[in-house]
Formats: sequence, C-alpha cells, structure tokens
Amino acid sequence: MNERATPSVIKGRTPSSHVGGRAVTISHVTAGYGERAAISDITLELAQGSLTAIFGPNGGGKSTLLKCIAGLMRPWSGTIEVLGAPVGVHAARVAYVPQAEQVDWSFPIAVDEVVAMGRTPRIGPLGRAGAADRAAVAEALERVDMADLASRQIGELSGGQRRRVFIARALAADPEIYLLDEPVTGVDPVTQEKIMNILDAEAARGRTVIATTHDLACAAQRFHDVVALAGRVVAHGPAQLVLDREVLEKTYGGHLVPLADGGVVLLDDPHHSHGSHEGHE
Amino acid sequence: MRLGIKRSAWTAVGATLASLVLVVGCNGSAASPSPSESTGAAADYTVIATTSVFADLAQLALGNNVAIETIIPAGVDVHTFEPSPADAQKLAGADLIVMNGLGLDEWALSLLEAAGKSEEDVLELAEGIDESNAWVYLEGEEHDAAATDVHGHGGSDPHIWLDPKGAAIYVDRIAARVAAELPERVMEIESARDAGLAEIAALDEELRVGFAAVDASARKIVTFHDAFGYFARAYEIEIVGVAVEAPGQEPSAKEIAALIDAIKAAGVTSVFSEAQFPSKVLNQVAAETGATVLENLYSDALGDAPANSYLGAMRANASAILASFK
Amino acid sequence: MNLIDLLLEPLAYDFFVRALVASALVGVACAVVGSFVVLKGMSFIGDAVSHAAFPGIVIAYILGLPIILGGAVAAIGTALGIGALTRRSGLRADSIIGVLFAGMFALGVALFSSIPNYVGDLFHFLFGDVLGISVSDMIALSVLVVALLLVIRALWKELLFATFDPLGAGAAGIPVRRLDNLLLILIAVTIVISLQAVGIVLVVAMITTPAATAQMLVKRFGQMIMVAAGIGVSAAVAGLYLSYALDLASGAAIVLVETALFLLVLLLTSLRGRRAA
Repeated sequence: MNERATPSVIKGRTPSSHVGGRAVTISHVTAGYGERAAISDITLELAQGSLTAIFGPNGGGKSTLLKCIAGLMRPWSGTIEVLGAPVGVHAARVAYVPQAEQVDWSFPIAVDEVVAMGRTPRIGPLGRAGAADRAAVAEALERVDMADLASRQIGELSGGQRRRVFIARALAADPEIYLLDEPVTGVDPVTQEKIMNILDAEAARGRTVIATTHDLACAAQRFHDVVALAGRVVAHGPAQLVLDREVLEKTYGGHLVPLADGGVVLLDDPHHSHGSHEGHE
Repeated sequence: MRLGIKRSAWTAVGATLASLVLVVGCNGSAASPSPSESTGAAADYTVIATTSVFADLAQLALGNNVAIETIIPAGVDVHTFEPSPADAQKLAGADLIVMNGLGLDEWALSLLEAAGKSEEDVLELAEGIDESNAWVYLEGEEHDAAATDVHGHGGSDPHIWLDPKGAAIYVDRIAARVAAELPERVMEIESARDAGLAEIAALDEELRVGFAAVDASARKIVTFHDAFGYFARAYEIEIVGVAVEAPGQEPSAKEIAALIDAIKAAGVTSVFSEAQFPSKVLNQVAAETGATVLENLYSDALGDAPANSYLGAMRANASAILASFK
Repeated sequence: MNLIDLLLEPLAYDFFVRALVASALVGVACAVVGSFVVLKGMSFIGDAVSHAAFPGIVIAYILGLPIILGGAVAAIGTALGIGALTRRSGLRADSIIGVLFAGMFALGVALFSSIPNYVGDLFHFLFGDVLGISVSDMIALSVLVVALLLVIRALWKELLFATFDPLGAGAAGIPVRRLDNLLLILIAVTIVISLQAVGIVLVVAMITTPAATAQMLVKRFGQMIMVAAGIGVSAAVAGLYLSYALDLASGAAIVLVETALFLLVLLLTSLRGRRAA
C-alpha cells in the first residue's frame, strides 16, 4: 500500500495538522516514577487522524508519556486532554496495546477470548456480547490473519502472532485513538509489515494512531509524523525529522558514533536503560 | 504519601492491641479458677474439694462447722481443666482434700507434692465404698488410664454421686472423716450430717416417684458419656448405648447415621449430651428423629442457681429429663 | 449390596443430604472463585484470609454475635488490607501476607485460649462441620453461593480483562482497582461461607485445587471455570460418600479426592506431552 522509501529520499507527506481536530492535547506535563521524572514539561498536540511515532532513547520517557495519555499514570503536573475531555472520560474510545511482556502467557485463554476483551467497554458491565460484538471479533481476527488460530491458547503462539492478537483486540474495540507501546519491536518483518499496514488503514479511516518505537527506519518510512522525546520534546513534525542530524543529536546525545566517512551510527541498545524506569512498571 | 501510610498503620495496630487487651482482660479473669468463697465460720479447719459438686456435698455433711473451698468453681468445664501452680498453693492450705477418685480427678494427686501434702491428707470418696456399703460399681469408660494402675479398680464408672444413695455415702464418709479429726465438734458435725442425709433421702424419694410415673417403654435415653449410669440404674431408666469411636472427636457420617438408627429403633426421645458430641450435629439428629437433646445436665459440676447446689442440680436434671420423656 | 444401594443408603438420612448439598455448593463457589485466584497467583492470599477469619470468629463468639459475621468482617478486612498494603508500601507481597496470616491466626488462638469453657463449635471452624449443618444454614449458604455466582456472571468480562491485562483494562476505562477489591471481597466471602464445610485449614485446597486441575485440561478461560466447577461438585459428592463409607472426616475426604484428581490429571497430561514430543 505504501511504497518503501530509502533513507536518503525524503518523501513529502501531508503534515497531519491539516487532517482533523485535536485528538490529544498535552500541556506542560511532568511525570515519572519515585523521585525521578521521566518526562518534563511536555507540551504536545496530536491531531485526529494522525499517524505518529514517538521515538527516542531508552529512559527518554516514551512509555511514560503513552501511559499518561492512556490514563495508566497520573502526571505530577500539567494536563492532558483526550478527545476534548480529561483523561479517562473517553477511555472506552481509546485502545491501549501494551508491550507484550507484561502479560502472563500461561493464562488459559484462547485467542478469540483475548480479542473479545476489546469489546468489553463497549458492552458495558452487566451486558452480554451480541452479534455485533462477535462480528467485530471475527473481523479483527481476519484483518490480523489470525482467524484460523482463534481457538489456540495464547501461550502456544509465536511472538509475532501474540502481537497480532493484541492488535486485533484493539481493532475489535473500534476506538478513535490507538496507543501502541512498541508495536513492531521484537517481531519478524512479515508481522511488522502486517501491523504497519493495519495502522496505516486505521489512520486513513480517520483514526488517530500513536505508537512508540525504537525503530527509526520504520518511523521514517511508515509514519506520517514523529515526536522526538528525550525527557522533553526535542522535535515534533513530519516523519523526515527523524533523519535530521540535529534532531538526532539532540535526542540521542552520546549514542551517536561518528563514522570515518562523516556519517553517524546510532547505538541505542533497546535493553539498556539510562537509569530511568522506562519499560518497567 | 509514605508518612500517611505509617500513621494509619500504627493507628490500626494500636487499635487492634487495645481491643485485644480489652477482650482478653474481660475473659482472662475467668481463665484460671479463682478461689471460691469460704463458707464462713470456723476457718481454722479447711476442707478443699476438687469440684463444686463435692464441695456442696461436704457442705451437706458438715454444715458451717468448717471452712469449705473448691478448686474448680461451678461453671468451669472439668474436662478441659488444667491445674496451675496457684491451685497447688491453694491445696497447701487444706486440712482435708476431698476428691472423687476412680480416675475422675487424678490431677489432684499430682498436685500433692507441690502442695506439700501426702495421700493421708486426701479422702477419695469413690474408693472402696462397695465393701462397707454394699455398693455395686458399674463399669465405666476409660476416664484416665492412670486410674487403672493406681487403684486397681480397672475402669469403674466414677459418677457415683449422681445416684442420691451414692451421694449419701459420700456425705457419710466426709462427716466421719472430719469428725475423727475434730473430736471436739462431733456433735455439731453429726447433726449437720443427719440434716444433709435427710435432704438427700427426700430427693431420692421425690425422683423415684417422678420416674416411676413414666411408662417403662418411654423411660429410655441415649448418652455418650458414662455419667448417668448410676442415675439410670437408680430410677430404672434404660440406656440405649451408642458407640462413639473417639469421644470429643468429629463423629463420622456413619456414626451419625448409626445414632439416628438407634434412636429411631429404640423409640428414644431423650438424648443426653455433654461436650463429648458436637452440639450442632446432635441438634440435626434431634430434628431428624424428633428426640430432645438435653445439653445442660449437671453431672461433673454445679451451675448457676437453682443448680448451684447438689440438690438443686439433681432436681434440675430430673425435671429436664422427665420433660423429655414422651 | 450393589452400587445403587450403596449410593442410596446414606441418602435416607436428612443430615447427609444436607451435607451433600452444602458441600456441592461450596465446591462450586470455591472452584469458580478459585479460577481467578489461581490465575492471579493469589493462593497464598486465600490461605491467609481463611486463617485471618479465625480471630473474627472468636471475637464474635465472645461477644455473642453470629460467628459468620465475625469471620466475614475479619476475612474481608484482611483481604482488602492485603490489597492496599501490597499496592502502597514498598514491601514484597508475600512478606505482607505472611505477616498478616500468622499474626491474625495467633490473635485468634490467643483469644480462643482465654475462653474458659470447652467450645466445640469453634473447633469445627478449623476443620469443618458439614455434618451438623442445619436447614437454615443450608438455605443461607445456597443464597450466598447463588448471589456470588450471579455477581461473577454479571461482571465476568470486566473481571477477566482486569485479571489478564490490568494495564490494557485500565486504559480501556475499566476500574481495575475496584475490581481487584471486589475480587478480594468475593474471595473472602467464599472462604467464610466455605468454612462450615471444610474449615479454615482446608478451604485453600478447595479454592486452589479444582482450578489448578482444570487449567491443565482446557485452553479457554470460560471452559476452565466450568471444568473447575464440575470438579468441585463431583469431588464434594465423592468425598462425602467416601467419608461415609470409610469413616473419614468429611472435609479431608473431599480435599483428598480433589488432590488425587489433580495428581491423576498431572500424570496423564505429562505422559501425553511426552508421547507427543
């Protein structure tokens, strides 16, 4: 659906600020764990229908920011508005896809049961699943190519398949905003492609997609906009910003290793934390 | 945030400790037996009985001529009683120690050394009364394994006083023993004894008449404790025995079924229970068979008024039992 | 005597029929709640809460209040306390639970020993007394079990989501903390109403074992709960009959049946796994 751009060719994409109203408004937010702030004085506006990647070093606050938007963490200061209301009011219209490691895979639960969870806020307490819900689940499974594995227990799935199940759960919820924490990290390229195609399609439908990622190439090639986050907002704009040297230097600081020919290599070990609690809860 | 938790946690701990102290305090005083009131006059000679029953029988035998005390006060369960050093100290002040014997209250013997007493200071009411009194012992349960070795009676039922004639023998023995030790008060003691024996005889007659009025086919009981053997013999009450594997332990479903069958087969309407059989289960058995469960019969100890004396307790037992016969 | 006669014989007694019904109900309730307990790895909490009920029972007895009420207050209070303390303080969950567990039980023992008279009824809360259950007890038990199951059925989806993926559920607007507390309360209530059947010491087995067994047999959570409930009921019935036939304590017999079943399934599934490998 979208052609792959090589890093040296910058494809112009429509800046998403022209697409729709504000989906997420973040105003002077500071948040962290214990005594240490992971993000400081973040001010950001993400428009509806945008397809935004948040990138930056480990410890830079990507997960923290996402959790604040999702309502899983309370900022120490500042405000966040989601769909025009404080966080939590429209929680049913937001789908959060966590990093896969945080779930117990030995849980005796089948693929379609997980996907069906996405319908829970829609059905509401005391309600029962109806035909529309079952159809949504089936369709979501189709879109992630997991329909034939619907009865499989999640522990029997590969990493890529597990990720797709959680994406399907989000799809089944039919939210207005998708928040995805490292959706394409640690999965095979085929799954990556599938996932990005889906996110693209959702954005094209007018949904807002916000994802954190380590993968700069993916951010540059598949997303419309990016936010460079290193404890603070370094840059926010069209995806080609991720390849801007100055942005990279400000974001990654000492992780950039100069090469003999004048280029740079970014060394950012995804498992090395800079002392913050990024990625842990 | 941390401070807030600490403060509320300490408050909770403090409140818990405070209530614990309150509750234990209210009960703690009842935990160890407290000395009962001495009967007043003539405090120079002290008789200490093991339980409230024998203390009252001693009172019937001796009147106010000596001081009478008891180790286990009324209302305390004699089966779970554990003697304490305080009890040994109390015994040290006794001129005569009155106990039942036959395994019922062997713990008193174990306190003698600590109390600085010897077996000569002890009157065992149940021992050897068959020879001089033409009394026939019944076979009893194994109350206390030690009893068989020490006294060679090998498991006789010790609940002799529940037959008024046995109580009369006890009264006689107490009076005789004290009179021998206090020759200067023989007259008063004998007159007190005679009055006591008269009251017991009146009780016996009263009960005899009462039970004879009940048809023999209805005069049946089920009991788990060997307490009422002599009583039943005295008034011709048939005991429908039920074997319970381990008294005090949880009865099995089969045992309960057997009990129900036995009650129905014999047409028993009166079931005696004490702590040996769980009351909840017995209540269900009663509901299923239509029998009456008598739980508060006085056997090893006296209770509150009017059962705070031997005569009162016996009359209370009799009226409850008579009421349960249908 | 053929099998039918053997099965029918004890049914002639009202007390046995009541015990059967009560045990079966307790079996179902424990198994259903136990499915969530096992999946959240909260079996230790289950044991702690059952032991924590003891001082509540003793205090209620001393004050002349219904014993179940005292047990429920203590159990629910402890369950919620564990939840709150593990969330807020920096201590590890199992330390907190261990401390509360032993402390509460010791409190119960201390209070119990201060009561001067033999208290047979209290003893049964340690080991169960289902054979002595009255008609009114059984009705109360039935009502509570039905209410429990209705609550779980009503909030089933939310409980599942919150248990499986608290982050995702929280983000979707599901009140995860409130559901956690609700689950703790349900566990406490289940434990208290089950004390009559199997007692404090064994109730954790009735909660954990059927669910652990079911987990080895099926892959779907919905099925797991049904299988666990089925195991709970059949073990209760089988255990009670066994206790009748062999003169065993009823609560222990039920737990032994459940444990035997667990070991059997464990053996069979590991054999199956080895053959497939």
